[in-house]
Amino acid sequence: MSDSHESGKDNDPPEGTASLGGDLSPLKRKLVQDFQDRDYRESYAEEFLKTNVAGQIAAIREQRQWNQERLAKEVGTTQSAVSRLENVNYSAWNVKTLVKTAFALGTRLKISFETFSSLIEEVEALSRSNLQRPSFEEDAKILSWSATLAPTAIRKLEEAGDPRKWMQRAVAAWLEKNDWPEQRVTLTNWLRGYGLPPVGSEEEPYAWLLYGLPLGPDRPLSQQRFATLLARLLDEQPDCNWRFEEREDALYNLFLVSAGLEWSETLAGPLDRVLDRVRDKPDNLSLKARDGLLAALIRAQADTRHQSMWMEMIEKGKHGLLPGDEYAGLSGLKWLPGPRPGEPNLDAIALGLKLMAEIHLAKLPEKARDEEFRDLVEQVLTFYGGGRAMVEDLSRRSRSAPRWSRLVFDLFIPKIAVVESKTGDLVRAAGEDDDQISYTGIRGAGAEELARILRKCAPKSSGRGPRWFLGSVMTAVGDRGTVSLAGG
Amino acid sequence: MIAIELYSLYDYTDAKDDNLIVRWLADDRISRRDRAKLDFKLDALIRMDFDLAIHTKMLAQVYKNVLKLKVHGEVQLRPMLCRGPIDVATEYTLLAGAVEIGGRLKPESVKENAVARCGHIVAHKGTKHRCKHERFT
Repeated sequence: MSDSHESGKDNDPPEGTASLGGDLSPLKRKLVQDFQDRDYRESYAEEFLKTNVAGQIAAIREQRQWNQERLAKEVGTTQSAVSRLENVNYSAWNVKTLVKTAFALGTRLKISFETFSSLIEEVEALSRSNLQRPSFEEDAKILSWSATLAPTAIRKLEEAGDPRKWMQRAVAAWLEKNDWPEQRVTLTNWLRGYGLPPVGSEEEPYAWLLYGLPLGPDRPLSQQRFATLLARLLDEQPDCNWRFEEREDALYNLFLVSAGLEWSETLAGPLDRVLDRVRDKPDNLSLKARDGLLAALIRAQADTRHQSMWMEMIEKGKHGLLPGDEYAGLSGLKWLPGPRPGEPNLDAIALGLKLMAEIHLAKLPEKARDEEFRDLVEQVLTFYGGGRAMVEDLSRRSRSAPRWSRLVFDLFIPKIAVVESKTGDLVRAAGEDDDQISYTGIRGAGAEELARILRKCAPKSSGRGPRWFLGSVMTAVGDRGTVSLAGG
Repeated sequence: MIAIELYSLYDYTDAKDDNLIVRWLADDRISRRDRAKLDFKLDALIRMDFDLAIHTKMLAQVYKNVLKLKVHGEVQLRPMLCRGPIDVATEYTLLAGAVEIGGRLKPESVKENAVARCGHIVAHKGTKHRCKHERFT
């Protein structure tokens, strides 16, 4: 009379089914048998239809993060009508309402006559994710097909002129919108690599988004708005909820945009919460995405809560969750907030340098050891535009450091400081004002000319000091060389 | 498309290991059409997440941890079930059969029975009073 639903071993498949379908699942075997009865199969199909309609409307609405009121508004009906449509026991729909509902959800309604075999397959595949559908704007196929439409791309390019200006217009329009669901879709698509300027595909999406920020006086306000929207997206837990194919790349881009914005007060909290979630579920993020998260956590520090994490990276040369080594740890300390805004946390940096010297550099041959340590100190000075006073300060705070490292400090104190630009596009894009980075006339100029411009412009720069400004200038003009500056 | 069963489904059995759900379904008053509807609901239930089953009113809470599966047919079948009770994240257990007539569950004691049966399963840590769901044919 009865049969095990799980095993189905007691029942032989109807004659011929093995040759047609090979190894049948227990459910398939059972339904093939039961469907021999017309009443049974029609009743089962009717129930599937009701559940599929209600389940799809509910699953897609929740996928859009809409409540029933919002869907009702989009359809032009009432919340109770939507509630009825989402009830698996309701079947008095009319096609017109279903069409309107489908369009409101950014989908289409498909009505077709199907075989009973397809019903069995659809029941087996029933799940929330198989009920969900992307909207037109999020449809990966539409997006990828659009990207391959060469004539459109060329026309867009002609309209766009400079792709960076095109991106700036796109970002400005996006920031102006006061509709988060729509902004979320656009931002997510950008992070996935869709909807970016039609040329320059070699650029990563995060770089395009940072190029999209205006230069000049509007930049800080745009950065702030951008950071607020990024924070909102981060707190929607994309690391848990994003399911699309380019998930890891999109998360990586999201974190690197967060890093590039350098708007720590807004972004530090949401990024910390991402880190908390990664602690709970380390497998949620790939190595690439965690690499991006590390960069963002380094750049967006509102307080000293991560100091111990940076110290752990320096001491162990690695971290349990993030792909950070001792150099990442030192970077974290460089971005650690100091006692006043824009000031370095010299205590932490001195301790970091001391640990680098003791743990990692002491193993190297003497010459390499000294050069490496000197590089590290230079990086700190370049970062903060620190001069002799900062070297002396660091030296004073490093009294317990190995003797050889203190001698390296002493060698710095002579008035020559070497500035090396190791800043990348991120720094450039997040960096200085338009007038400060547009001194392209210094390309090919000698060190003296550069120093002259530097002295002239440095007082107007961001407060990080002349060497920071020089780093940006040199990146802007593509100069990766080393320049000596007399006087500092 | 990937087919995944999110939940395992169990039936309540009495002290003699008789499957009380199958016994209920064997009642002649339940038509073949209604059994098909019930079978589909159970097939869907173990594949849909719990939240979606609640949002779409496939399941409704009845009493304490007892839920009813709503099947609208010639007879309004309302089998009582619970999540778990051994592992609420991965199991449902059908506890008792019932029908709804005029907004009232029959038998009237079904809610209390279901709670008690759920307690029996928990008391035996799932080793007694339940078996894998058997589909009535």
